[in-house]
Amino acid sequence: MAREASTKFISLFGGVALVTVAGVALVWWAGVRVTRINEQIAQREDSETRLIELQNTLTDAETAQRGFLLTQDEQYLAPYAGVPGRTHELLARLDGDVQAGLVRKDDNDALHRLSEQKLAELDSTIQLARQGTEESAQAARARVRDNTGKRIMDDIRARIAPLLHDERQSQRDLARRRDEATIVRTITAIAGAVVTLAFLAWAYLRIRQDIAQRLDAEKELEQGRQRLAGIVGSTMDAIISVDEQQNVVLFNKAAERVFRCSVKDVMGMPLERFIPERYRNVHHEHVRRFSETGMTSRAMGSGAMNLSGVRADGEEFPIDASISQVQIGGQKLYTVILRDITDRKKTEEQLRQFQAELEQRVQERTVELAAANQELEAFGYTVSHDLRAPLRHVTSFVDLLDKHAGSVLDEKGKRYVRTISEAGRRMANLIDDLLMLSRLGRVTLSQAQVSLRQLVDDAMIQLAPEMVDRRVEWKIGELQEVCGDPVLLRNVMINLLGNALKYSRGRDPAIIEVQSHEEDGQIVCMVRDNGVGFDMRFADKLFGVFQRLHRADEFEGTGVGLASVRRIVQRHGGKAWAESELDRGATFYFALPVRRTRS
Amino acid sequence: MTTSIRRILLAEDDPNDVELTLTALTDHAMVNEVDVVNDGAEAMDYLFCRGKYAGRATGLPAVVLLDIKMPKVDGIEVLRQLKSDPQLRIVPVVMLTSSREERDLVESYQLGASAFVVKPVDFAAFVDAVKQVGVFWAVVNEPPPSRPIPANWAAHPRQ
Repeated sequence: MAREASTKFISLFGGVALVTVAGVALVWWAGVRVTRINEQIAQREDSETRLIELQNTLTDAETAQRGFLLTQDEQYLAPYAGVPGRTHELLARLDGDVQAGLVRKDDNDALHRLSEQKLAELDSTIQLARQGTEESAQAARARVRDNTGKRIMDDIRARIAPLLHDERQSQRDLARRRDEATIVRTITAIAGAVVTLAFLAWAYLRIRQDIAQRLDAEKELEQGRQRLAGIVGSTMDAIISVDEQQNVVLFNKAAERVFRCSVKDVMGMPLERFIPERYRNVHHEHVRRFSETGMTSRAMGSGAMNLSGVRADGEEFPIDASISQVQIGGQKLYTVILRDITDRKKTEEQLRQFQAELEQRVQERTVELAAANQELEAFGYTVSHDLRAPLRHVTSFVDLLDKHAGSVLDEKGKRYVRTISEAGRRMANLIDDLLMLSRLGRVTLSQAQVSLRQLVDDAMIQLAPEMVDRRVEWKIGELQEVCGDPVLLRNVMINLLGNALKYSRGRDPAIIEVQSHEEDGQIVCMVRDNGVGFDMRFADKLFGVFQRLHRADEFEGTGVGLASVRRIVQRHGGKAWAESELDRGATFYFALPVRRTRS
Repeated sequence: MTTSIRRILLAEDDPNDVELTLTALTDHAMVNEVDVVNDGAEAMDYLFCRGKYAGRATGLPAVVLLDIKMPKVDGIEVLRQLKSDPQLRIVPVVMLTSSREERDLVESYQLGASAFVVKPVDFAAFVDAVKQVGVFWAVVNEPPPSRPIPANWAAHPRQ
């Protein structure tokens, strides 16, 4: 990220520098061109000045010559004195101009020649006039009058005039080129400045954007750091980080609380001081091995091993801890997150005690229950043997009596014998049913898939004697499978169908409906008859032991059948109930939870 | 053993039941003589020819009718001892009981009882049960000794 940013900046500044240097170079080059043209113009001007001076010098000398010739006054010759020297000087410079290509050679040669001629003419006339004689003066004047001097002078002027014209023309051209070059320079400078500025502006924007991004990232980083610090500071768990030498580099608030010491006292100190002495070697070994695994983190301690910490005041306490390792800048950092579990241990201990107490109590109760159960069983066994034996004797001997002395008994006697016999039989049935009911509470339930349809078929076979000499219309609907004890469930079905047959005895035909359906996770089975029914006010009594809603001379029975039904259904985790209206039949239901046996 | 019709042993402590059983047997023309013992210990003495039965020379009974609930030694115990004796174990035993307890039934059959009869309260039914058992074992069925003796019985030859 940083490297990427710096390359970006380097290319950015490189670009700016390149554009700037190119701009400056262009402007400089344009400047050099202007300067060079100015130099050329200056040369031309010098050359022009020299030509004019040459012409003026010779003209002035001629004027001085004329004046002297006319007046013979030497005063007029004063200007002439420096003329030849000055003229030669100018001509010599003119040679330089030829070399510089400013003046053509033929023009120069002509000017040299004419100037020399003029100087010679001037000198000769002046020398004549200086002789002081009239003749010499006359001769000198005559020479002037023959116009030689004037002709030479005219030639000189004629030579210089076009030269001057050319010079001025050239100067004008150069000035124009200079102006053009100046404009180019200005435009270049402005364009360069504009490009550079644009580039700078772009770079500025880029940098500003970059800085903004960097600030955002820094802000985010700072927020993250604060968040992390907040979490580390506010967490319930103690967090301690140590370096490779096992010295503390981070110690959060919770750690301060747990170990009862201040962070400034432990920074840089060895972690050992928080570990009970007897565990220190083990701890080092564990950390070493953990380091070798390269795992990021794992719980500390193992299985049965209880971890402990030592507070600053020396108190030892149980902890739960995990350790993690990270590699930061070549340095390994171990972080231990731990929790004081003193309270939890206490609670666990209490729970264990409660559990033990509870178990103890359950055991006691179980023993009591087992004893009670055994007693009950013994009781049942005794009843079934000892109670039934005398009963059997009563009925058997009554039968023998009837056989033996029946013929001598009158009607009353015979009725007595019959009553004794029937009472004995009823008693025997009661005992049998009672024993069966008590057994229902004790036997272990077997679990199997039981077809209700099969149960109905079995019951109908068993109940066949009840259907002799009467019309019974069976309406058997859909019947599911249930899960439970086949023997006991058959008992339920026999009881319910038996009741339906019994209480519909007076109907012709008796209509008995059986069907089942699934509802709320239960199989609900229904048995409906069109018999005498019962008063719903007594519905509760119906399933009680020995509870009967009919007199024995109306419908025989012991009052145990429905009690058995309810007991069996309840033992299967279901329930049984009934609905009826007097004289309009009764409907009995039992519901069993849907439970699938694993085959 | 000279008697052609062998005896029946009835072990029953209740005199009423004894009388009823005997009546039933006589009523149904059971010709066998019935020896009655009144508790388990006496039954054992009879079977093993000891005590007051030491001089008994009537041989093995055709069938033993054994009540389960008896004083001193109960019927199940008598059955156990009888069936663990190499000579006596071939005697058919019919358990007579008032009980409908399944465990008695299961135990009796496990120990080798030939039949298990719940004494019905209904006398006619009782007579029927006794008659069937009696007729089957004492009259209709050939007594076991007259059968060809299997090889493993050779060690205990009977006279």
